[in-house]
Amino acid sequence: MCAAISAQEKLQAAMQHKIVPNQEYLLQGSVLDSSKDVLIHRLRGLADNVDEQVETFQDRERVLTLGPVSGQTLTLYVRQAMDVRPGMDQSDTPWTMRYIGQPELGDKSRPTVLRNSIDVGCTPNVLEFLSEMGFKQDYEFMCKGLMFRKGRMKILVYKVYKNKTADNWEPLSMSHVVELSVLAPQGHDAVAEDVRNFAEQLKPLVQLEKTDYRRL
Amino acid sequence: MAEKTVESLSKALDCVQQLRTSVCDVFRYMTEGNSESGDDDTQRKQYVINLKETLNTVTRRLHDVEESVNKLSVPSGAFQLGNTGFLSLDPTLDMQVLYGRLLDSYKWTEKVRDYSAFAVPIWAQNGVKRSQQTALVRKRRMAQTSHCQPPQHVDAILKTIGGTFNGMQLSISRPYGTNSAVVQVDLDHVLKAVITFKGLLIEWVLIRGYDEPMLTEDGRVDLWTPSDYHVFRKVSENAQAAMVHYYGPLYPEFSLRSYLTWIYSYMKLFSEPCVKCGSRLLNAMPPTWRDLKTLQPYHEDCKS
Amino acid sequence: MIIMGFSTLQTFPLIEGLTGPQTLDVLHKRITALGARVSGQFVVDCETYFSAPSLLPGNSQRVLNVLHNTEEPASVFAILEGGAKQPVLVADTLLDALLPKMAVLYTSNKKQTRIESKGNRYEMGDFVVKLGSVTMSGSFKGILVEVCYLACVVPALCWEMVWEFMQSFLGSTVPSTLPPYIQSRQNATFSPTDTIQMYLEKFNEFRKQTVAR
Repeated sequence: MCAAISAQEKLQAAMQHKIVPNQEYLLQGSVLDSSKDVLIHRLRGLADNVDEQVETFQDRERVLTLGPVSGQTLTLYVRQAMDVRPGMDQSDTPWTMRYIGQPELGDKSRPTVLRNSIDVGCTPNVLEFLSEMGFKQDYEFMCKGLMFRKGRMKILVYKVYKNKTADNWEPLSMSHVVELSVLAPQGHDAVAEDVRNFAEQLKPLVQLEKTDYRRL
Repeated sequence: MAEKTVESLSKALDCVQQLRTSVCDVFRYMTEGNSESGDDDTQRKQYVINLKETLNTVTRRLHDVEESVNKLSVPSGAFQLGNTGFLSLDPTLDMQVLYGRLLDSYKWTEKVRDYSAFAVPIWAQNGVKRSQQTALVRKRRMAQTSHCQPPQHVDAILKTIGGTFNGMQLSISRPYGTNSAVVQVDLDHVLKAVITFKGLLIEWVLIRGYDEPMLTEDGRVDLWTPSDYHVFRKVSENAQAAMVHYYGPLYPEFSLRSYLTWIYSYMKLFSEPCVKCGSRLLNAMPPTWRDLKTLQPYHEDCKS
Repeated sequence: MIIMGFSTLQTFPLIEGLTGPQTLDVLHKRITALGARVSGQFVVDCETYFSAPSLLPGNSQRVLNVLHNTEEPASVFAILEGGAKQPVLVADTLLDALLPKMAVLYTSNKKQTRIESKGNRYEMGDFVVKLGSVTMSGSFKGILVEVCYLACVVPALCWEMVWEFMQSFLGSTVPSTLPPYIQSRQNATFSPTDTIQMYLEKFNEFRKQTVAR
């Protein structure tokens, strides 16, 4: 009969052994709406998870900030799945809270953007909870599109919508965003190579590169 | 002459009865002992004295029995059954035991006739029979149709019966064919039951807790997985026993109504105490048995 | 959705002349004499963080309590006190990884850090009993007894039965009325967040005890 180990001790042990996936390797690009179909055909050929239909997703994301206190602010992204599968009702859909850290600078030879990312699943009352804590909503947007998977990589092709008035969603631009990402624990830098190789295969259709967020 | 024999016989039987009572007294006294208080020595002496008294009563009664038996006369001659008495005169070795056996079987059949004459009026009080044959009349058996009713008829009956119980919801589905309805019973946050029918006859019942899933992974109603909780496994067993008890193919609506009434009595599974022992818990279980006639709650070990 | 059944929580006063561990021993003997068997250990712990003073308008303060329960090992509970409402957030274990990021905004007070209830878990039929000794920063504070009846989810239906069970090994220290937290919810379905809120209430009581002394 082993003694009960508290959850915190377990998490610390996991982080020490570097098995908690909290680093995101990312490449982004965009494609015009008119050329989107060609890209999707190519992705369907390359990706793993396409049997009959491609997986679609529709997420509503809100960005909340807390602070500033002593110059520090905290930004959290709260995502809610909007596409209701048959058999589930809206109150059962999963919500996630995401913390995205600053991208790591310095290593110009690294092919992808590397940033700290923590994804926490939670109950639907997370908005109320965070606003009680003092978080304020900066803005929100909706993403609607398709998801592909290749090994550990996740490829998203989606369109961003913005609401000027409540529930009146309009597309933000005439193109779709393409994102290639992998969530891995610290130190698995070889993953970045795989991401770059996959990006090469999409080269003439879409240019995926690491965006320098400071320049935006 | 006959009356005297009867009188002396009854006296002898009385004496035997008294003898048996006094022997019982002896044994009871030996087990229970002396209930008077006092210090040990006097207690022991008193115990021995009382025991001797009871044994003396026994010897006296035995004496009485012997006296009354001696007064009785031995019955005259061999018992004869009319002309069959001549069988006893057959000198062949094989045939000699025949007459004795004949007499024995005659006595036995006479006793059977007497006892069944007593039993018939008692059993006839229960009017709901399972089979259809009456003792004397032999008409052609009426075709039993309760196992193949049209689905609308089954639905209508279930709705009417289900509507009379406040707090019990029935939902009917037919995932396994039109003749077998699967009814999910929801008893007001206490339990959930799934009953499978064949026409109007109940085939299978399973009872689970309120928070347990009723559907399998692919969305069908789960008929087989037993409950995770001990209390509902016990209630399921009892429900299956009750299903057999209330089985009445000749009066299907009546038996269905009685069965649902029995299940409805489980509404207060966790709050009613057992009528026999008065407490709610015995071996960490609430009263899981409901009497089949009076619907009162009993613990598993309290139902006698 | 798996609901855990109905739990009730109670402090058990120390027996005259015995220390905390000795009292727990007495309870252990009583409950194993009834027929329960030990089925492992449990830990319920709570860390508290206080919001930075300049964070919220009007200088009001919020207290963030983060609780873990080995009964729900994949979840972390966060309860916020101080405001008009007291929302409870249930998230998965990565929430603990997020807390250090908030270190400046919500700090943990060095005086009152971790309080936990730790001990044996017993099973008897459909009952689960947890006898925990409450410690804060290593010092013993008291004994918390949690009794859980798995088969029923509505407190009002089975309270008397649970009370009978508790009396059989806790004696007359059991109050005959429902705990105040459950009274307002006795006809609703019980869920693990209700258990956690009761634990928080008791932990806060234990914390106040030290301040009084």
